Amino acid sequence: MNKLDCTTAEVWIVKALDEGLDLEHLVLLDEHLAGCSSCRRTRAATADVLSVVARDVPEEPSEDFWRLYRQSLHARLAEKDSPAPSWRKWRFTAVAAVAGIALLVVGLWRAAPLLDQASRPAEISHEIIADLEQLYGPVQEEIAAPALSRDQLYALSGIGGYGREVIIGWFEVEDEPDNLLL
Amino acid sequence: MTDAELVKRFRKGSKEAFSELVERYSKPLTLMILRMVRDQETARDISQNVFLKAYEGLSRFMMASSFKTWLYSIALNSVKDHLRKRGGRQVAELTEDLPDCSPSQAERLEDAILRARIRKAVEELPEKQRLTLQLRIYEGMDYKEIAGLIGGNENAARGNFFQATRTLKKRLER
Repeated sequence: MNKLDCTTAEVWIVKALDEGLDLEHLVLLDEHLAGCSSCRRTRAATADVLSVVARDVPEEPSEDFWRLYRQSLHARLAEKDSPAPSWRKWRFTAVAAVAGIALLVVGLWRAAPLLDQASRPAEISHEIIADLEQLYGPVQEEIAAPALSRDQLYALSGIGGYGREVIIGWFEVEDEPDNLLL
Repeated sequence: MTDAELVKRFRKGSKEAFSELVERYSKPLTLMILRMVRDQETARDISQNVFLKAYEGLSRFMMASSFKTWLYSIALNSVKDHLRKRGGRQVAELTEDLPDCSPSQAERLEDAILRARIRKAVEELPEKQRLTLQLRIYEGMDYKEIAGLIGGNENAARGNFFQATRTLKKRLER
């Protein structure tokens, strides 16, 4: 009597060719295969597939490849260790520069009350972000400028650096320039 | 010295410890990448970038897994990114010379055609199935290691291997 169905047999065939089966399962599978030509074909085809995949490997690289690999990797690692230009130094320089721009923005705003107060600081916020993008690459969505309208005013509340991230804070101002905080 | 000891030494400032890790893993890691991308220059670039990422990130590595698992998972993610960027372009090619009429060369051609068909079929497998098949057959990893690298558990990895084999077999029967 054949105790295995063909679906289970297929799973066992793959397992037998891959990890191997314990004796009990192997005996059951062999019994099934002895009486099932379809599963015998499945076993042969599966063995062929695994054998072809195993043989289909790219040519191993030459000794020259490994020599160049090591040389260029060590050079790239050494570059990472070189002291100048220091990312940390640049980061603080950048943050200081942006903070300077922010101070200038507020100074200009206070000194020129006739400026279009609904849009000017927000436009400058965009410039700051553009500067940051130049220094740090594209900004994350979280630090993109908030939606602008002519009735809203945004003031920079702070810029900070943490690792490779730059955090910009702002708040909405409602016609009260004296409330600005930096 | 174990990998964990080398990692600790590197964190204390020993560059030699990292060089030892490179010495240990650069060849097997590059070969694994090469078997997946099938281009030596690409494999070299990806592999070197993996070590550069490891060099930068090792101080933050929490040791929740082994260094090898961590390193290989960086490599697999890089390979996946590369293959996604490359899009659906196939690299299945016949690299052997075309034979004249001798039986052995005819067999070689037949084998080359078969391998090209299988390679194309492997490339078209769903990502997890493809990676499981390659890690199992080429790298000889057990299913626990594979699950640690690509996610899921051992049985899910076995299931992926079974499905991959079944799909390839069906593709060859056509």
